[in-house]
Amino acid sequence: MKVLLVGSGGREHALAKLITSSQMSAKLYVLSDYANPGLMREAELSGGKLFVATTTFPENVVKIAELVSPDLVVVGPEEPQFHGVVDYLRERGFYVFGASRRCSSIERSKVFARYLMWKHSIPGRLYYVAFKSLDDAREFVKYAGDVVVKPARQVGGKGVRVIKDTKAFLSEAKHQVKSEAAFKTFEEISKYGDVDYSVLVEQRVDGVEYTAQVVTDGSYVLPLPLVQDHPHAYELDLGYETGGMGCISGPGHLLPFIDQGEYETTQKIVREVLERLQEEVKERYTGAFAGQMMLTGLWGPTAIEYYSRFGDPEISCLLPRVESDFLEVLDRAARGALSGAKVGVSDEVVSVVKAVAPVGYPVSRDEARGHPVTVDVEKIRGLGCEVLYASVELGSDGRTYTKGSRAFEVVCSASSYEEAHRVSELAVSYVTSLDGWPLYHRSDVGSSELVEERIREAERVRRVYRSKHLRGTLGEFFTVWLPGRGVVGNPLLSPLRWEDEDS
Amino acid sequence: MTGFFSLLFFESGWNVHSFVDYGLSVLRHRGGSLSLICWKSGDRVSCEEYGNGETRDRPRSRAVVTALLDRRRVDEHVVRGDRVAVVSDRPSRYLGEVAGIVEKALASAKPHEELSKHLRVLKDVDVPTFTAVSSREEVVAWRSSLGLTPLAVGGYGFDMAVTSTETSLIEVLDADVRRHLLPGEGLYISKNQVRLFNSGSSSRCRLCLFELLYTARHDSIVDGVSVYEFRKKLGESLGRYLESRVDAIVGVPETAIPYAIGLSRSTGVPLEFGFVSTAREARSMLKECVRDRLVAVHLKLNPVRRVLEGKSIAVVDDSMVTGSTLKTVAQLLRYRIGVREIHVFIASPKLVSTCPYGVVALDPETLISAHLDELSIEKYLDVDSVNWLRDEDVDSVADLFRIRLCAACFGRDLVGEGR
Repeated sequence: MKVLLVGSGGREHALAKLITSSQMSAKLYVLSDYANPGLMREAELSGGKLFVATTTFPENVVKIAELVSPDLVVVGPEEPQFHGVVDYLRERGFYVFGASRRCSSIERSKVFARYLMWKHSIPGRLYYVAFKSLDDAREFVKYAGDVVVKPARQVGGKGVRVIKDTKAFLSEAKHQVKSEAAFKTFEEISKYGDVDYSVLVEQRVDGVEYTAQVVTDGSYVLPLPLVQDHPHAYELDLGYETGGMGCISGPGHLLPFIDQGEYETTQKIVREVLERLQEEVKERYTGAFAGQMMLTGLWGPTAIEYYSRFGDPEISCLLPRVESDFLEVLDRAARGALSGAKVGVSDEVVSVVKAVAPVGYPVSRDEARGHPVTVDVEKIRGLGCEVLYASVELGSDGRTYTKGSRAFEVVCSASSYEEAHRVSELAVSYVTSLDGWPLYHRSDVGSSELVEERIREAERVRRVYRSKHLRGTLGEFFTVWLPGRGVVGNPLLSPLRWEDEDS
Repeated sequence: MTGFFSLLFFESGWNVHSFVDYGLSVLRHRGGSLSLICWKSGDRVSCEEYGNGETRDRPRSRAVVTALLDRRRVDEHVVRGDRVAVVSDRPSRYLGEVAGIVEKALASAKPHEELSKHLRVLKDVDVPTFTAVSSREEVVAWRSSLGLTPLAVGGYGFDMAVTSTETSLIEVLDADVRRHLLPGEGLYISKNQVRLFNSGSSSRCRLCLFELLYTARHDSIVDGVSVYEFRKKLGESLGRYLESRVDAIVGVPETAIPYAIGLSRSTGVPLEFGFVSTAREARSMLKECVRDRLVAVHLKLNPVRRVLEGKSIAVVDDSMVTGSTLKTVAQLLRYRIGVREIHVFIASPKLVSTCPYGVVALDPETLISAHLDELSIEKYLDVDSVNWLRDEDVDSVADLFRIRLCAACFGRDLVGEGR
């Protein structure tokens, strides 16, 4: 069976491994934006080939598809979906695993995703307000309280500013920052031009994040085990937002801090969003879909945003845990024959994935780019781990060079987090730079200490949402009672600024 | 006693002043008369007294180190070079050496590895907990391999990292406490990297009992131990020394309240709020001269008359240094209020020695327990009895919380004994 995989990074390398390990003896072709040595090797080992071209140009993809004539095309990342690559391929008769342009708007437009949840009263929705003009956003921000300022479009999982504002004495400094965040977001979004809105101001919640990924053919939804990503760049959950510096998964379909009831509620939310999305866009959703969730005191399972693809690095976390033929699942989804399919997962095994990035990622990418790096694949495998190649490319001298983003992912599994964490730390040491440029990873990802901290955090929010559930106030938030005007129930507004307005 | 905190803003656009102001207010209870700020100024680091108009007009800096220090010993707390300023939380003669290590490490490609390597060499030397800021807007925070004083790390969204002597500071600044650093553990923070490093703890490492007993705020967590809970437990232990019949328990504000709650809990004697403070943050013991100390004591002690009149009262305090606070309390209760009996309960053993590590500035000449026997103290204070906790009481509470304490000033130099 011939498979064409579109995409360039760690997620695609994980998919490539899942595809080539299939019983269906897959010959893997890859269309990648750059010569990722990991993807190149997987393709060549399977008897296929890697092509380099811009993956967001539908014409490029179709040209390669026509050359290869694959039985299945798998489109990994969101940007080709946003650019209509999937539609272009399907119009030409290819079987494609991946969301169409219209279906992928659930990820592309964060405003659309929120709108959909409110329109259909789907639980786990947050208050939001979206702006087309910078002036309107800035005017609103004057009155904003405890909020998150986000780009209204998906921009590679970045640009989110969480501006916790719960102390009046620090509010002035935060007001300044919100206004600047709105400005920066507006600038960033104006580069795209494929969304109506620029700036999204959203209710801030806190709790424990996790990702719920599913595979669907539009009617049958196959849930995969939950995964927890670690978005902060640095140790101890400090620093910038990144695409994800590592993740953990297991045991079973749950995480140590998510219970069965919360899992089921999450699946219900994901299913309902998928159903309503298809009604709204009047197209069948075929491919991977994921809810970036957070267990919050406000709702319990709460939707932060959605992905119209597998998470990166979330899918890597499942690599050592999937026992059944994953290619068969992708293929059946693409053909609309997913009904009855199952993904066998080793329940007793937990996995820990760590991203290794050059120093400079995520904010000084020019500094992070162009460093020769090497991986001792055999040593890593000797530990029972795998290494995935992400933002690295083959140089003309045959060496592997960083491209500025997360360079590698180390994937380890064991019967306990303690052991998986231990081997992952050893495995990471086999990724080295050849020019002395420092690489970094998060040593705390997967540590028992951090897992226990998440359990405590989940317990805290669980007490809150259960109490709200009993009192019938799930999802409701009461900002301030203004005598003579009543209770302001809009959590986006600051009680302070309302006072200001009065005086 | 002193305290410090450092802030590093990953994102630009933040005005640090409100964070510095409120951070300093949190640490004010630790004593320290000098507010010091170190940050980048031009292409070098500058340290100056914080709070005058000039420091406020400074351009914004991504990284700052702020401390409340004993003005008289500032030279033993701070070493400032052009590229790095190092501030410690207790006086030390090794700071110059530390500053050299930090400066060299920050100039290397892997600062955390260099710091770990060179601080490891000093593992058994008494290097204090310190924080440093560089002219390239980097922060280093490291906890002494002997432990003694605490150090915690917090984060605010994707925007800021904070390290602080006390966890309560992190919470007041609207950030979240991530965890405390272990003895010998440090953190390197810059825009491009955050690295934990560990240069090893000394086998002699312990936590200063005084930190838990007096210095820290009730709302702080020190090495996983709730200060409030710890104090309440010590107060409960005092119950076994209550032999006379007393009608009410009062705590000397503010520190002694949890001890008084504990004593009331273990004895069933009602707790009363016996005094109202006029000044806030009246930490009498930490005042540097006798007059200031008395002013602070007098300001925090206006009695609630009817609660106490004609009764037999147990007065609880955390420790007895010069005895002047308790003397004032006893005089008030006896002469102005007219109580029947006064029984003093001290939630720690007798303070008999200066602190060999400079954590607490105690003048051995002024420690009443080092100079007078129990009977003389009773007479001097004009009270019916004085009761101290014993070493074994403190040890069993420490065991309960699974911590190892240094009690050098109480006559047991458990850090030194390990030498």
